[in-house]
Amino acid sequence: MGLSLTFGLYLVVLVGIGVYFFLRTETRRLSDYMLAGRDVGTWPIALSEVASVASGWTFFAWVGVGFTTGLHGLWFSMAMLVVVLFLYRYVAPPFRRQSERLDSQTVVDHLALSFRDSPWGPWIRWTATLAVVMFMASYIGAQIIAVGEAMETGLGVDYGVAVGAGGLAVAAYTTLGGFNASVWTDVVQGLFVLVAAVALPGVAIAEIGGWRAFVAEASAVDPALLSMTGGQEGAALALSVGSWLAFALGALGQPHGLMRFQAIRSERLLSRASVIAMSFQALRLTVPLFIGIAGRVLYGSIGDPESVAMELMVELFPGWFAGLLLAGIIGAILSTSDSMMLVTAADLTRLYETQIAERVSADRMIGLGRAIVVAMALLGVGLAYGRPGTIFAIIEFAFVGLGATLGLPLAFLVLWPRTTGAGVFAAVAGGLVAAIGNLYLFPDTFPILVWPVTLAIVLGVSVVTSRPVSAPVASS
Amino acid sequence: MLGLPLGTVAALGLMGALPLLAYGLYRVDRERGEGHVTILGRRSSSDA
Repeated sequence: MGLSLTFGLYLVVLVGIGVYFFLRTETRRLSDYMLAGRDVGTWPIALSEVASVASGWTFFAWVGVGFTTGLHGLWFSMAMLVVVLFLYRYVAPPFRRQSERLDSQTVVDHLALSFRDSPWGPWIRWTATLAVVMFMASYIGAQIIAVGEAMETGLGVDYGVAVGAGGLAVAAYTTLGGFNASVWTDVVQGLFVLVAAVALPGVAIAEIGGWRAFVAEASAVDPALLSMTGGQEGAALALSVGSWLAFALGALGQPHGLMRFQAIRSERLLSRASVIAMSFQALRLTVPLFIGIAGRVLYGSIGDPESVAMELMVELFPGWFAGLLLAGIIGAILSTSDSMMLVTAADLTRLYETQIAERVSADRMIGLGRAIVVAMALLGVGLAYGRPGTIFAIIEFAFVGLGATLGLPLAFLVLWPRTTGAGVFAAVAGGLVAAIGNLYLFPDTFPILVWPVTLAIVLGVSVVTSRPVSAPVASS
Repeated sequence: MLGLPLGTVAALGLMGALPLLAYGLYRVDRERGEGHVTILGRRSSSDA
């Protein structure tokens, strides 16, 4: 009862934040709705960036990895932290600067506007928007599957009902409040995720009998659980580590995370924000692995390893506290979905505005943005009902796909002046084909092949097509 | 150490060290770049 009550109250607060920003904010332009008028401070940016990216994989997919392969997943964690530091320090500052100059609202918008005077601009926009819709639909579906599993395990709610309620809640507050609501709910959820990340493994390890008992029992269950090799050697180990590193590179191009760099009040806040984000990322990329291992020790085998954290939470905490943590985690998942819906809405509305209909009123654009958010919520709920794969597998595909199609071209655009419109278009299209091709034609090597292929394309095409006078608008 | 293999301890150490590196770089940015990101102690952007 306590669990359900706390959880219900939390959802009311979540929608309340959306209503508050809807009533309080006089939204004049689409960028106000999408980027909160580029006036978001350090803490909201850093915490919401982490919460929006952390999502379903922190307490589901990553716990599942801990349960099955143990600390071998730290290869991904280390690589991801390095990529995040690189992003904050070397990609975000020029990206924020260029974004204000171009008045770009998303990564896709940025890539297209950088070549607005080139014939490649519209090609980039169409192709990159297609990639965003495709990968985001998968990503949102994975998040809503996680919501369904969490509510099913934690509250005993029927999976179908849980998926419908979660989709409705996130659509309501994203549609009403836009990015401002999204940022503030992300902050609240970021803090809840932090509390859960600290409390859950501590209590689970105490339940086993303390640290020494945890290490001894984990080694007895499977000696590979605590090792970096995951019990592999030779070529199999190299392939496995390569897959983790290639997966982590996806962090370069998560549009819902990158959008926050565009919204930050000043480039000068980025360095400070990087410290907060790195600390939080280090925690959330390490702790769930220990939760998974503790779950393996306590449960031995379980039908769905990705739901171990939810099982532990319900079993080890008092009802009201479990309700609060569960709500925070579900909220974090929903916030990821809402950020994804928002960025997809932004890309589709900009595509409509620039390529399909000219002279669209600001009110109509905002209305269209809200309609797309609702449509994406419905799509996500539909995919969640279908449950096409594990949360981890779906996230990996979407994460790497977005990283290759958007992140790599963006990094080249802001860091290498010789990057051309043809190079960016080829990288977006090539990344899209490489991600799908690697997954379906060479699944054993996924996602390793995606990166060298996309890298070769953007480098090769840019070198071949670059001329000193055709430097991109943004880098001039 | 802590009953964990050496490689795992090194990986966990790196996970702790990277945020500290970010903090150290932030201190340099604050002192030498007025908050702007610096590269080798020099500000990476020209606009204030």
